[in-house]
Amino acid sequence: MSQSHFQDLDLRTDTKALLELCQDVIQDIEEYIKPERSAPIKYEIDFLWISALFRILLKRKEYSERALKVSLAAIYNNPADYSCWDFRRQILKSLQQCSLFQQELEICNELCLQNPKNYQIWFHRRFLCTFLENPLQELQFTEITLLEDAKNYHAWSHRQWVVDHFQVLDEEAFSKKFLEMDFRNNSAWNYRYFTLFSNMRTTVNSLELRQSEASYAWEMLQRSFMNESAWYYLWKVVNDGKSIAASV
Amino acid sequence: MFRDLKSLYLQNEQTYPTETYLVQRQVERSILKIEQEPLRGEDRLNKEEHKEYLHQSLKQLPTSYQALDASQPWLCYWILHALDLLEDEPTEEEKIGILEHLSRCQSPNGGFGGGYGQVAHLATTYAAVCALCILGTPEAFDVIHLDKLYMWLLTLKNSDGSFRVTELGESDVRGLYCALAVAHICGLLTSELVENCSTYISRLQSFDGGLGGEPFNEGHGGYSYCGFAALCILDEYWQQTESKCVPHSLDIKKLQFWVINRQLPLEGGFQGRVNKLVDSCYSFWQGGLLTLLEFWTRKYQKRNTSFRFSGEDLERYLLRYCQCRGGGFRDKPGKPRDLYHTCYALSGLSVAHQNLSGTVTHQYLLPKINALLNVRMERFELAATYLRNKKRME
Repeated sequence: MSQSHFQDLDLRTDTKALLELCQDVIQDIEEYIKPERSAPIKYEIDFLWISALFRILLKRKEYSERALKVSLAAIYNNPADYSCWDFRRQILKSLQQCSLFQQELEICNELCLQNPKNYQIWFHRRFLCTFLENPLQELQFTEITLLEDAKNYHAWSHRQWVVDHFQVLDEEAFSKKFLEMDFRNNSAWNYRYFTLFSNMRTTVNSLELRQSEASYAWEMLQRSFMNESAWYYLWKVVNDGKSIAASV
Repeated sequence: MFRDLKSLYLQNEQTYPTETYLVQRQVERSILKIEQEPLRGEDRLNKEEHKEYLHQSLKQLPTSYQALDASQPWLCYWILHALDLLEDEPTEEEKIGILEHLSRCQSPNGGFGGGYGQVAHLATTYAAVCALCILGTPEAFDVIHLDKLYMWLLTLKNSDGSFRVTELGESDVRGLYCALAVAHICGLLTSELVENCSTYISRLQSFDGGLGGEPFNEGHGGYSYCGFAALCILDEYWQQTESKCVPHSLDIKKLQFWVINRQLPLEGGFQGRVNKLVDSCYSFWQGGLLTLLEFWTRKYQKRNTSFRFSGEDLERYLLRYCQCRGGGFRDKPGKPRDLYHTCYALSGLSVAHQNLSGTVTHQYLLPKINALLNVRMERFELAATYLRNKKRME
């Protein structure tokens, strides 16, 4: 953490308040690095300062722009610090400034690309999404992530959530695109099943569609019969079809 | 006996290569390379080296572990459980320190967070409670504020039966499992807490038969373990209170078929999802799941399950390809060791030892675990007895 970061945190309110804050921070650090613990981590000093400062603001329930800056610094040090992410959501909800939400999305984009398997960042996106109502952006973002790693569980899960939450239709081509790239991609087969046959779809009970999907799976199996994904997909749509036909 | 791995490799050849196929072949070749090493000794668990690695980690972790600063109870549990499986433990002085540390992780409103001053989280609560169980003393069990824990668990419950991991956090089957596992050992299961849980679990089965993290997600080893273990806990509760099986709509046979096919014949270890790579941690998630499924089918089906997996192959994967020089286990050849994989590789090895076909005599077997919580059976029994009695008295 450079000198400029500390200046940016606007801690120079008044001397008394600053001294009080420093005392609280030191007390927290002393508690945090007590030798009586398992597997003590060899902390860097700025890591300790920033995380302690964050914990103090958290304890004080200070929902301010200053708290946003401190928690962001803590997040850069440790993107998996879920307390920070929770805190930011609380601050954003209480400040209710539209510009802050957009800024937050940009921060998320940067951190998400660097840490594509981090639970907290992906969940934060869902929170932002509900305020910003930007499904197209989210679909674009998940596509970028999936082109990097076609099986990123969080990315597929997020895309499903966006599609569900905003009732996005016409997603059939997306799974097809990824299956063309790799017909062994189980995540893409799963997404295909979701987009065609989940409860929100009008095609949820379509016998016809299941028949054509069975043909599609069979076609993919011609490329290689040793592809479990296509077999499970075929098995599922055929069994679905049996149940639907029986109930008619 | 072990199959001829080279001929398995040749059998696995497919037409129309894609990314999935290419990376899988890469891993298979790395396995064959180890097989062909002339100085490869016998498969042997390097107990002393692993203990050394764990004891060292208990004393100090390098700066790179700052990335796990919000998971301090996990570090504690991974080390304690791994040592426990090796029939070792920290010193008395270290145990006192560990106890105080876990105390500091407890939130004043119930539950445990990733460290002092952090928000309480279901996963770190699970890890802390398990770590305290492994310590095994009344002082350790007394650390847990049972009433506050229960109230906190209730605040995290969603109307669809799932649990949020923190007040403002994500909901998925991990949350549900951690909440029920903790409630199970602490004697905090109530009708209010378990309401709708089995309904949520029933919605998690994917097209491939495995369970996903949220409804309609892809079948995944970690989530399948969480979902089914949670169902087993619910079943015990239902048996006690209603004398019948927990109502659910999972296709158990399909789940069994999915998980048994996650063991890869060449590598011997388990993959987490269909068409993905082997990873030593799935030795427990998938192996443990198979253990639980075996109990279930023995309870509810007339015939014995035919879905036994190869303990020998799993042991081969872990001992021959995943042990690191200087101690610790890794995900797969080429990856570095870490405490998480060490814990789950050893847990998986314990499961493997309960699934040997008996043709080769083993001089040494790891202690048996309680597959619902992943702590040694004795630790679970002792802790559960103490905590459940305590709850009744309060």
